Amino acid sequence: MIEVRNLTKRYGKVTAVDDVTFTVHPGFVTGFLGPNGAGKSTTMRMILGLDKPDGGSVLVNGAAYRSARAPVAEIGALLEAKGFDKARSARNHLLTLATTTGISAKRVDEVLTLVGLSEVARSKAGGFSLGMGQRLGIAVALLGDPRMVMLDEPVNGLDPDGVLWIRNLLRQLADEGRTVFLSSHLMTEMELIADQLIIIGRGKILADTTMREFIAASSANRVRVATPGAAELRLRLESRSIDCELLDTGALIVSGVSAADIGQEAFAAGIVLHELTPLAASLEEAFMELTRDSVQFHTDGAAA
Amino acid sequence: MSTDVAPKVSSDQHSLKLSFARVLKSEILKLRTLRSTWIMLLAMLALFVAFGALAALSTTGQISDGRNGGPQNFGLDPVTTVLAGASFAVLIMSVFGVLSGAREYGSGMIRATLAFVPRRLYVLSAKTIALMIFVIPVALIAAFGAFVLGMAVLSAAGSETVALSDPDAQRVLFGTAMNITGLSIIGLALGMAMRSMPGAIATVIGGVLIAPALLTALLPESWRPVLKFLPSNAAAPFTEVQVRADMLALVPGIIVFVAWVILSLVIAGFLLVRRDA
Ligand SMILES: Nc1ncnc2c1ncn2[C@@H]1O[C@H](COP(=O)(O)OP(=O)(O)OP(=O)(O)O)[C@@H](O)[C@H]1O
Ligand SMILES: [Mg+2]
Repeated sequence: MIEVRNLTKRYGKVTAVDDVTFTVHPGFVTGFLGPNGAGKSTTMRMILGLDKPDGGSVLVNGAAYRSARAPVAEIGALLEAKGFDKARSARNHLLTLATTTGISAKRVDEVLTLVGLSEVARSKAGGFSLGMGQRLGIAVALLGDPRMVMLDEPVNGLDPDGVLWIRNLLRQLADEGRTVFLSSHLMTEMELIADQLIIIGRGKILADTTMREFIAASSANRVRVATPGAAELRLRLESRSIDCELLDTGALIVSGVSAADIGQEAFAAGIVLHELTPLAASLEEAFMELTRDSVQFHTDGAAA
Repeated sequence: MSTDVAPKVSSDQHSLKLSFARVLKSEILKLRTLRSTWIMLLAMLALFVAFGALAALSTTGQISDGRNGGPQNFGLDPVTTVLAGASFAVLIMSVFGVLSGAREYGSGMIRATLAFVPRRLYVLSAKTIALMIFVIPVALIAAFGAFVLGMAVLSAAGSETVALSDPDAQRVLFGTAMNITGLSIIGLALGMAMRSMPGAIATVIGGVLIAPALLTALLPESWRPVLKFLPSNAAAPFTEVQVRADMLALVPGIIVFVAWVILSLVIAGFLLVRRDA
């Protein structure tokens, strides 16, 4: 479990992370979603103690990360794809890190196989493609067989096969009861991997919910209805406790029922329909809507 | 690429523990697994010994004259002659130190290292000791190798030689190895503090090796009491055969030199702990 409490980080005038509080629970894949520059990487660096917060604290399984007996057995992290020495082989890179905590060479080879790098394990990592570098970074994260895995944009540079592989891997890690925390700036990616969703924009938490709730909230069937009998149709639908919203244009936005259902209702009441359009907001749009508001809010806040 | 499934908790998971001894092992492994380590150590060894032999060859005619000709003459004494390559060794090893300090900042690996080892002073101490483990033996072999080979060259030419048992020779040989080691550590500290190889190399060469000598040469005699405390001058009593009156005595020289090394490490450690990685 990762508990982030009122975490704040400033770089000069920029408040990269602004009073952020959230908890990442074991047994789930938690997505950390936000546009570029939202503060995802900064938050992750502070969780590992690499950057010092200007305020707030982080608890990793109830204690400070640095006080753990074997820190990498608590959180295994991928922070940057290119964080290895080009002159060293993948295996030696892993061995140097493994040695600090008494992780065996056997485990190093195991992890190399797991990420699919065993065939190139002894060649210089400098020649690796972006995707291979990413796999090496994931190998580093898995070395200590950690209870929590934290990955910053893990699918960056992976081919479709690799993306599918990491999805399955993360699902399996979560199913084993581990805490899985990963960042992305793509909602489409999160939709496929995450159970829990934490959305960050301009350093502030905008949403902390389950994927299921987020989907329900943003893609509930919404239908636009244009009709001269809007008032009557609205009464009829609301009597069935269906949500209706009357727009200034005179159109009705009906939530939670299908267009066919509404057509049926109108027909039964003899109401003429001019338009009956299903509105399917995608999750990506819902996410962008959310973060756009945050940007807006911050701009206004700064001007005030 | 073939992909597999995640294993269950591995067998060694329970014995995992971060310790200083393991961090030291890791830093030794880091140096061992870079070819540049071996290239630089070999280059130091080869240049040190080769320049000593060359100097011995080219000065065999001059040494007997020079001995009576006063301190201005080249090839003043056999020990100085055969250690002609010492300055190259110092240069190469201070760059080696910078590399072992700044290299991880260039690649970004430092963040992985510090994630594995959140006790940052472990990392600095382990890097320092690992560096010493590599530099000290090679510096000693190089100094004594240059001495033995150089003296053999001089002796073959019938020139005057100095025995290994000579106390001055021993002082200078061990002192030279110490100077090389100390400057490689200062290089490491500067590399960690500046996080950039070019910057730290320029600083160690310009600031630590050249500037003191330059200042000593340019500033008036009255500055000597201050200048003798600069790193390269503090090393004079244990790297030069002639003990100079205007420099520190042997023991104060060693103390001041070691103090510089420790100061550089303290600054590097302070910055390492204070700054974001
Ligand atoms: N070391 C630093 N020095 C100065 N500013 C920084 C530093 N690191 C991050 N920032 C700033 O903090 C903000 C958050 O950056 P961060 O890298 O955490 O965002 P992110 O959510 O990871 O973005 P991305 O999706 O692009 O990776 C940005 O405005 C960035 O410019
Ligand atoms: Mg980022």
